Formats: sequence, structure tokens, C-alpha cells
Amino acid sequence: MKKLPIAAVGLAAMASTPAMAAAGTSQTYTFNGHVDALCSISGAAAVDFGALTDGSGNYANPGAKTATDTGANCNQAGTTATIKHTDLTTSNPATTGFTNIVPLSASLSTDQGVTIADTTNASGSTASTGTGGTIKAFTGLTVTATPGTPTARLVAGSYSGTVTVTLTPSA
Amino acid sequence: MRVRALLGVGVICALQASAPARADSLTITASGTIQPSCSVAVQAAFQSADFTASGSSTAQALVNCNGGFRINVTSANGAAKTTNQASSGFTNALSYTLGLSVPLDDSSTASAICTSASLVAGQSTCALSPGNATGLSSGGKTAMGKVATLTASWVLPAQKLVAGSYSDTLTVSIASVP
Repeated sequence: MKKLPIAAVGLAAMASTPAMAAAGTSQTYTFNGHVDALCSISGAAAVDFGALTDGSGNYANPGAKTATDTGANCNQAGTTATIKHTDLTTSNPATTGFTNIVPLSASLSTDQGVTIADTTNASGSTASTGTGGTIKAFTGLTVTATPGTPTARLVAGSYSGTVTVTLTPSA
Repeated sequence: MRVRALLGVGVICALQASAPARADSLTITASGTIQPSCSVAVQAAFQSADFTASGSSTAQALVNCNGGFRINVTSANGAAKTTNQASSGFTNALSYTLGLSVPLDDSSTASAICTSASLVAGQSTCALSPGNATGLSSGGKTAMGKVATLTASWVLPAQKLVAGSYSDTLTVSIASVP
């Protein structure tokens, strides 16, 4: 007869067992990661315009020349670039009626189709102030140098100039 | 009066002598109902991944189900994404695959691998897809206190990834299956 109350207690315990967590529960996970900012450009590339005059000593515009850096890239959406240049000059002095400067203009373009042209003028070997803008994330960079028309006959010599591109990565 | 008194004693003695020695028994039929229940808890979160190279990242979930169950997963973005704008040649979304492996009480494992795109709400093409009615099924088996593993794997896409912080939100849902 003593078993009855024990069994009764057992039944009561089973009946009152609380339900565990409700079915259909859910949990949230955040899957995250990062891509670090990367920016690279290969460096100087030489462009040879060849002869600037014809056999008579008259200026012969060689036309635009390009230097392409297929490996250049920046992966930040807000990347900006500035381009500036000097003219083609020679250190040989120019006497009256001659000049030792060939004006130059310069521009850059990315494989993504963004172009920035330097709209400022150089003064001989003194660089232009340059022009900048946002080029976004890009792959591949082409720099174009275009000789203009000198103001007089060119004195003989080796002429050189520079185009400088500065990249500034930004998110 | 004397006779009655003696008779009374005799009856008592007779009753005592006639009681058989036997065991008492009582059969009780106990019945109750254990309601099916399932729960999932975050055991370990994903660590921040480096998306400049292909790789994988894992997280863990503690699963408690006293009956058969199914699991579905919902991806908020269908990929790990950044809000940074992607110019031509770049992308701001990284697709990945999510693998989910749940050890069961009978030592077997329920597992599935789905693309992140198939985990978007409304999709049903993969076992884990939120719209897949079967889900990742335990096949009626239980998993009490088992640690499930979530593995997100990615391969760098043909297009470069724009720099930035990428994320996706995964919601793991578990339900008892009668």
C-alpha cells in the first residue's frame, strides 16, 4: 500500500516536466570579412618621340605617345589621381629665332574608362600645377603625352619631359 | 458472561491464525507525453575573414532536439557584400558556399552544402534553402547537445573585389519534424 503514493508522485512529476525551448527557434550569425586597400603602379616608363624635326629642320609633330601599365590597379572606390607634366626641353640654349621647348599636354585613362587630362600648362622644365580627379577603383592605366607646336624652330639637342601621375587610394 | 468473553477471544485467535502470508501488489500504468522540442544556440561565431584570398571560415551551433528535425538557413544578402561602390571590372559582392554538418545521436551526420545565392528568402533549390520544406533533415533522428559546424567557403571571383568591409547575415532555423 505504500507504493501508491510513491507512484502518484512519479506521475505528477512526469506531467509537470516543462517543455524545453520551443520548436522552431533560430539563431543569427554574421559572416564577415574584409578586403584591404591595395594600390600599385609599376613606375616610370619611357616613351620615345623620335625625331622632332624633318630633314629641313622644320618641326615634325610626332603625335601622341602612350605608356600603358597593365598591372597598375587600385581597389578602393574613392581612389583619386593627379596628373602633371613638364614640356619637352633640352638644356642647349636657344638663340634668337630658336626655341628649346616643345609644349606638351598629358592625360591618363583607366581600363574602366575614366580619363583625366591635365588642363594646366607647364613652363619648360617647370611642371604644370596638375589636374586631379576621382578615378575610382581601376585596373590598367594608360598615360598619354601629346606634343604641341613650338613657338620657333627647335634648337638641336636631346629633348625630354616628364608626366607624373600620383594615385591616392581612398575608400 | 464468561462464556461470551471466552468466545470473543477465540474468534480473534481464529482470525489471526487464518490470515495467509502473501505479497501485496499493485500495478500502476504510468503514462505521459514528452513534447518534441528543438533548440539551436550559437556556440561559436564566424571570425572575420580575409577576402583577399580564397579560404573558409567556420562557426558552431549547439543543437538540442529530442526528435526528428530539420534545419533551414536564410542569407540576408545572398553573398558577402560591402556598401562601397564597385566600378567596372570590380565587384562588391563575394559569393560563397555554406556547409552545415550536424552530428546525430546515432553517430551519423546530417549535412548539406549550399551556395549563398540559394539561401536568400524564397529560394528552395538547396536543402538549406529557406523555402525548402524538407530542409536539412535529420531523418527522424535526435541530436541532444550536439555541436553542429557551419563552414563558409569562398573562391576569389574573376572580377577584383573592391576594398571594404564585407558581411552577410545568416539565420539558422531549426524545427521539430513529427
